Amino acid sequence: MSASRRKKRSRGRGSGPPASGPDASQLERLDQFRWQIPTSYKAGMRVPGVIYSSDAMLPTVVSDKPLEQLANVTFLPGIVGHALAMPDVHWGYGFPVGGVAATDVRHGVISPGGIGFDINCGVRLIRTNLTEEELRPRLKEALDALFRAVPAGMGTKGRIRLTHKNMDRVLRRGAAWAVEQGLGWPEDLEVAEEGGALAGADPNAVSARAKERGSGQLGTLGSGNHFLELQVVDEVFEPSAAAALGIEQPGTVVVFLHTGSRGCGHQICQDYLQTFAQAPSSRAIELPDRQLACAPLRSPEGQDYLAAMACGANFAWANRQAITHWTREALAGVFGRSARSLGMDVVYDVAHNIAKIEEHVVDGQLRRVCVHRKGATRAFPPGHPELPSKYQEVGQPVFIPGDMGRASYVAVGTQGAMEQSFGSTCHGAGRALSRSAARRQLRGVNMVERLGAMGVGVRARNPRLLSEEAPEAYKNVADVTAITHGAGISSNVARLRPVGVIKG
Amino acid sequence: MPANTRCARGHATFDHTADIGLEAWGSTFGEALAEAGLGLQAIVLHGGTVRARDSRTFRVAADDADALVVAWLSELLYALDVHGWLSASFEVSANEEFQLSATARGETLDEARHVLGVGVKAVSYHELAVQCESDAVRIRVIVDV
Repeated sequence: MSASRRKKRSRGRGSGPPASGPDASQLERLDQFRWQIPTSYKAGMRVPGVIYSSDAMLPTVVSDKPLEQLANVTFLPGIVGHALAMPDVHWGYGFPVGGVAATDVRHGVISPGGIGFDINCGVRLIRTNLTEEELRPRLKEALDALFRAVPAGMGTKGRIRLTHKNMDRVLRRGAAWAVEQGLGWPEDLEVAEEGGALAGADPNAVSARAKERGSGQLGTLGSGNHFLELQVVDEVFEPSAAAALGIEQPGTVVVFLHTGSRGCGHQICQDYLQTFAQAPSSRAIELPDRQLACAPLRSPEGQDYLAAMACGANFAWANRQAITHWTREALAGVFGRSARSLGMDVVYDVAHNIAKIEEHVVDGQLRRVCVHRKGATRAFPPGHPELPSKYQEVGQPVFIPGDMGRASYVAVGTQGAMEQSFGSTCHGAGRALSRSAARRQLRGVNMVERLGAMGVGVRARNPRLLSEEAPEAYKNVADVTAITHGAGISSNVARLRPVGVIKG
Repeated sequence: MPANTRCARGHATFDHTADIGLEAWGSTFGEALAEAGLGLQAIVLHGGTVRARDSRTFRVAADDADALVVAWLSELLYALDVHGWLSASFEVSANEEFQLSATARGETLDEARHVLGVGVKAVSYHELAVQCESDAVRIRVIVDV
C-alpha cells in the first residue's frame, strides 16, 4: 500500500490529533452552575454546548478534552436545544463521557457513539433490612459468598450458557426473560426504566458475533469500573423521598450494582459503526470525529441500529437481573434468612448509556426527540407518566456511584431537569486521573490493605487493577452532586458509604 | 513519543482519562498492525507466558487504513472473548486494498497460568491515526476499557 494513499484516507474522515478544546475565556457564563460554548466557537456547530460545573471544578474540565468533544457533538444533524455536559464530564471517544444530546425524530440522526460501546451500562440499587452492625461481623463471609456467586473480570464465562433461541428471547424481553427463568421477582420489573425491556428490540438486527459474545456472559460483572458493592446509608437529606425508596434509616445496608451489556453490547456498537461508515445516508454527513458516525433516525440503518441497541439494552437488564438474583441467594445463605425476609427489594434500575425516544419542550414547543445519554442518567420529575406508581410523588430514583473509598449518592429527578437538560443528570464522579497515572501515584500501595483500613472489604479477581480504580482516580462525587443539586437537575436524597466491594 | 521510538518496531500505551491509548509502529503497515495486536494483548494480559502451542489465521478487510486497524483489533477481541485465544506472535500482511491476513501463534487462555488485566470492550475511531513517516508506519488508537 502506498504511503500517500494511507495518509490521505486517514485524514479524509477527520481522524488524527484533535484541537485541545475551548479555554475558559471562550466560555460564556450563564449562571452559578452553567457555562456555554457559543456556536461561534467553531464553524459547523448547530447549537451551543452547555456545561454544568462550578468555579472549583471548571479548570479541571477545561484542561481535559471533553469540551472539544462537546462542541463536536453539536455538529449532529437535527440536534435541538443544546448539547450538554454534566459536571462529571471527562474525555471519552466521540461523545464526552457525561454528555447529553437530543435530536429531532423526523430529521435528526442517531449516533452509536452517543450511547457508547457498553449499551445500557447502568446502576441498580437493592435495599435490605440489614444494618451495618449485623453485617460487620459477617462481612468477610458475605463478600466471599458474593464473589463466588457473581462471576467478575474480563472474558468471564457466566453461570448460564444461552442457546440461540434463549439469546433471542433475552434480546427481545430483557429482565422479564430472567424473571421467568426464576432469576428474580415479578415486581423487580416495575422498578426498572422501561420495565427492564426497551420496546422495538429485533434480534435480527443483531449480528451472530454479538450474540455469540453475549451467550456465555449473562450474569457476569465484567471489569474496569464495574462493581458490586455493599454500602450503608450514611446520611439522609430528604427523609420523605428516602422513605419512599426504603432507605430512610441511616445504617441500612444496600447493594449497589454497576454493569452493562458485556460483549454483546460492545459488538453491536462496533458493528453499527462499520455499517454507518458504509451507508450512503451516513457517509453524506460531515463530522469532525469519525467516532460520531451517525445515520438519519428514519433511514433503514438508523432504524436497524435502534432495534439492535434495544437488544443490547435488554441484554444489560437481563444481566443485572441475574446478578440481583444471585446476590439475594448469596446474602440469604450467609444470614440464614430468605431474601424476602431480608427485605431485598430492588429500589430502581437506571440506564446511563442509552438513547430513548422522548417528548420534551424545546423553545416552547413539545417535540419528539431522541435523547442520547452517554454517561448521563435520566432524571424524570414527580408525576411523569413513565414512572412507576410508587415513585409518582417523589420522582425517579437516580443513582450516582462515587468511588470505592468515599461515597455514592442517591437522588431523585426534578422538573428542573425537564426544563434544562432533557430530563437528565450526572452518572458518577468522573475520572480525575488516567489509569496509568493512578497506578504511578499508588505504586507500592497494597490497595486491599488500604481499603481495609478505611473499613472497606474487597474481593477482586485481579487485585493489581484496584489502584486504577482507587478513590484518588475519581473526582469527589460530593462536589459533582452539589452541582446537580444546586442547578436543580436532580435532588439529593441520601449519601451511601461503601463497606464491601467486588471487582473484576 | 515513547522513549524506545528508535526501535524498528514496537508498541506502547499513552494516557487517556478513562480509556487506554495504544501506539504501535513498524517498518511496514503489516508490522505496525502486528505490534498493535501485541500491544492490545499486553493490556488484557497482565501475567503468564503465552506459549506458541497452536496457530490461528485471521482475514480482515476494510475500506481504509483506519477502519482496518479497528477491524483487526476487534477481530482479536472477538477471538479472546469467544475462544479465549491469546497470541504469542503475529505475522501480518496488509495489501493496497486494505485486506489483512495474519497468522498468530499462541494458545487458549489457561486461568491457572494467565493473569488477565483490564478487559477491553472495543476499539474506538476517536483520534485514530495511521501515519507514514520516512522509515516507519505509526498507528495511534484508543481502546475502550
